[in-house]
Amino acid sequence: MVSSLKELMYGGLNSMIAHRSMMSLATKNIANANTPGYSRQRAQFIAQNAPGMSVKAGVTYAVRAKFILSSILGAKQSFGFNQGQVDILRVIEPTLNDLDGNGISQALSDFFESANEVSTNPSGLAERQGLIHKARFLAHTLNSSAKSLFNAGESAAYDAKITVAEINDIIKELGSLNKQIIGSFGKGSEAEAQIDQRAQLLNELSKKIGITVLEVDQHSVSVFLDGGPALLSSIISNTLHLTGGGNQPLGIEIEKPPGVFTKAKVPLGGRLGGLLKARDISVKQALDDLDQMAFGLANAVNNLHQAGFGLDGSTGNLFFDSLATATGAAQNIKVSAVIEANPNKIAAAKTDTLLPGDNANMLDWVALQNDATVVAGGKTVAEAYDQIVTRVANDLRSVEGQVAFDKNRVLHFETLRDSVSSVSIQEEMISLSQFEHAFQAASRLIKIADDLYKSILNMV
Amino acid sequence: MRITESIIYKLMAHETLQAQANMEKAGRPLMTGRRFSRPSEDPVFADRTAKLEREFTKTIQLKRNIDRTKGYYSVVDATLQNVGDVLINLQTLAISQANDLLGPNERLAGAAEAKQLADTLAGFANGRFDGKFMFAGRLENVAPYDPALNFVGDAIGRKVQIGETVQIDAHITGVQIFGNAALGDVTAFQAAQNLITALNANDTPGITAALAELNSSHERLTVAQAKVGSRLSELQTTDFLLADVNVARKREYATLANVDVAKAASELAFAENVLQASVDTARQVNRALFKSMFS
Repeated sequence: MVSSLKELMYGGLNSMIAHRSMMSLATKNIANANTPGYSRQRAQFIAQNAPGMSVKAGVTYAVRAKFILSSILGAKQSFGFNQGQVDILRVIEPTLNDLDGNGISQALSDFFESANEVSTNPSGLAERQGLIHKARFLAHTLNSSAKSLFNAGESAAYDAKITVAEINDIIKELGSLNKQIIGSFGKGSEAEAQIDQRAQLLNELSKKIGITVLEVDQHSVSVFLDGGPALLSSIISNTLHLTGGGNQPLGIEIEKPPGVFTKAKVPLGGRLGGLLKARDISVKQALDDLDQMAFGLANAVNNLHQAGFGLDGSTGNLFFDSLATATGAAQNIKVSAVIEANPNKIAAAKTDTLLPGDNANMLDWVALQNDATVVAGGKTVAEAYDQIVTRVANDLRSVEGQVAFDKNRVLHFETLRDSVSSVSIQEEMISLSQFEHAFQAASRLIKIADDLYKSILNMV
Repeated sequence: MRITESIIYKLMAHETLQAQANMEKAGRPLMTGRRFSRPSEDPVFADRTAKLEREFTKTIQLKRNIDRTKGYYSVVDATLQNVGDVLINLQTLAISQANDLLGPNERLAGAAEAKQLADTLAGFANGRFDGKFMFAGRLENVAPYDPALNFVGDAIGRKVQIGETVQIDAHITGVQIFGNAALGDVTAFQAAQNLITALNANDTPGITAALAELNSSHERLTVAQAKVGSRLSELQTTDFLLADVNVARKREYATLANVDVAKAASELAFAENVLQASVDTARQVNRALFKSMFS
């Protein structure tokens, strides 16, 4: 109960101050309506019973949907993991895409077609030159395809390196934010903004690597690699290092303390995990299979060729340069210089007594296209290639589907989060108007108290 | 659920982008003429079309082999027809000269005619197709018959692939047509020579014996002609079969790969409408939000 005019004036003043704070908060909310990750801030009016103390604005707090935050992290982690794979698989898909009528499949068909041409006219120079041309084209197509696959792996490694650097930056920033939040705890608005910023960084981090976040206390969080060591222990950040590269699989190590490296297990989730999986499983498998295919083809052709006879009676010549192992075969397959220099050395004949019309060796060569013993694992050359294309296509289709699913999940969870935390401008405008009216009413109260004072003074 | 402006804008952006992506996807088949452009769009389709395309290439190979071999055997067939005519002329000459009423002078004239026919026969035996000796088998760059009309070619010839697992003889060789002296046959040339010798010697029994040898040669020729005929027939049948298979494969390929333009166009129109509706809705919602805030 107001007991004096002074109290009336102070009551009005306190109400004006409280409502001005609330208007200031609403203004801040409106200003940050589009700030990513911003959680609308609120403060409660607290009724005051002390004389002259009508009301005050309580400590500012942010409205957060804690229940949804870990779901957002999980969805982003999965999105990053699948998107990382999609980015690399999309790079290699054109190399294995024959739908436009160009590519390894067509080069293989042309190669066998040319061998067939030689078989129908074994003494024809044009047919022999045609075979060399198509063999050279096939070798070139295999070389460039293998190179493209290798380069895709290198791109993945480069991307992984950048991602690791970004992860390290985020971890450091998180450590620093933890420190600031501890320091500014209780300062309401400032701390809440830092907590929002930290949540944003955790979102970013989860897109890049699989993490588990643990709240250490009310102020700071620790971040662990999924099922692994800590990346951040409250304010102490550790450093991630990428290992491997070139022909070796990529891995990661955690430096903790400085100079001491601990190997972390792969896969890791997030974009980094996706890149590593795409590079060291999908791309490597495609490259290995392409090598096996090229190795099988070169060996089968060479074995036949060495046993046959050229138009000039020569025998024992290799058609493709010898390949010691399957590793790197696709990138190194090449028509031998001896054959390139002299088409008459193409061994179409099985015997040197029936030259130039003997085509028996070349018929066996043509039959290689249907021979299921050419490529290791009991496959024809075409089957081996189809398998590579189908595997990559299926992998890509599957992860593209996952990405679409993850995108929707992220959108759904973010919408849920926003429904709790994001700013509604309409709501804030109504609040502003509400606070403004109250503010005006409070000012009117002061005016009335002032008028009363004046009336009393005039009475004297 | 509490709906804020940021939720509305985020969802509008998402839906509009999705509608835009759908329209691009719907338009791609019409732009490329193919239902799919990337294997990952439908890996099974990509696998099947790749196999069909390889089958087409193989069919082209086989068709080319068939055409080339048919060309060879057609020329051989015509040549054997001529060889048959020469043999008939020699047989007719032998029958007419075997008559005891003819004297040495008539037989000498007959010998000269037989010599001419024998030379024609030898000319056919060393005939060429596509610049190569057609009856020399695999030794195609060398005349199969030397000046003494001994066979110096390859008696077997090479094979040619005309089906996935079918090979046929790409050649008929001189010994199959004119007889193989190495196997004890009296060759057509020898029979003709024996006739000439008998006519020059005015040797009636010799003429009769040469006639019998010419008859055998003609029978051998008939067998060779039958072989050529059956190979041409086999080639023709395989050609028809390949054409049928090819048509079936092309139909399957078209069903798989080619765009159903009417369907694709209606899908594109639908996607375009959805995008338009999405953009219009976004505009309307935006206007409503703006009005409600500032009116």
